[in-house]
Amino acid sequence: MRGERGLERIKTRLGEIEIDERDIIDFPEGLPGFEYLRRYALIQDERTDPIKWLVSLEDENVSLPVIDPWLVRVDYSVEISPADKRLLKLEDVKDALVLCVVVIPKDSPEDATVNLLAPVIINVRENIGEQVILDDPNYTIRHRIVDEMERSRKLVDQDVKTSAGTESEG
Amino acid sequence: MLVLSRRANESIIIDDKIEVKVLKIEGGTVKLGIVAPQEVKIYRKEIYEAVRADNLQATSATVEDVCGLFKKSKCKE
Repeated sequence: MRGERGLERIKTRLGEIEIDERDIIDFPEGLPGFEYLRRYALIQDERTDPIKWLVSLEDENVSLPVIDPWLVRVDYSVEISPADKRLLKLEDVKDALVLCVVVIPKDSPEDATVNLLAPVIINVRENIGEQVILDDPNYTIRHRIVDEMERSRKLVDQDVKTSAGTESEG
Repeated sequence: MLVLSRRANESIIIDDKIEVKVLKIEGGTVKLGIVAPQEVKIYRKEIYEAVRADNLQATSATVEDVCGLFKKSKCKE
């Protein structure tokens, strides 16, 4: 249903939400598993922060929990291929929003995993999105979030210690 | 399905622009070289299938599941 101000009311698993049509993100190739769905919105829900939801506007059963990968892995890196840049109409990488899909097992949420191999990239200037598959042996489809955060914490601690040491010497 | 036999160093051309060449056959493995325009995406099928399965599982999550992950008090509302 379309309102007067270009607002659309959408039923999702998070409840009914109102989407401004300017916030609709087009996924020209869909997502693996949902190749036939093209229109999505990125929803923030304070109950699940820092996890956001990539919500299909065409199938109310499709809502993917996604997270900023750098919250999980501080040294994450993404190289967007020329083909993906073209599809995303991405001229400036600063316009790229990177999010990774989270899987939460029903009976053991502590074993939740994040897909660092296939991040969702959104060109926020054009509102075009794509789930790309990286060619990087460091990443897999299922990194356990708890383990990654522990690793990141150690890396950050090391960094702090190193820079503190350098300061005191200088 | 079209079935073609190729030896090492032989190729097939798809749609005048994609070349798939058999580089090496060794044991149970065939090494392929692919020349294609930049916009053509090439994946190992099992990786694409694994991403697909991961997405399908991810989408069964509810707000309550995510709350269980971070154990935040806000979720108890």
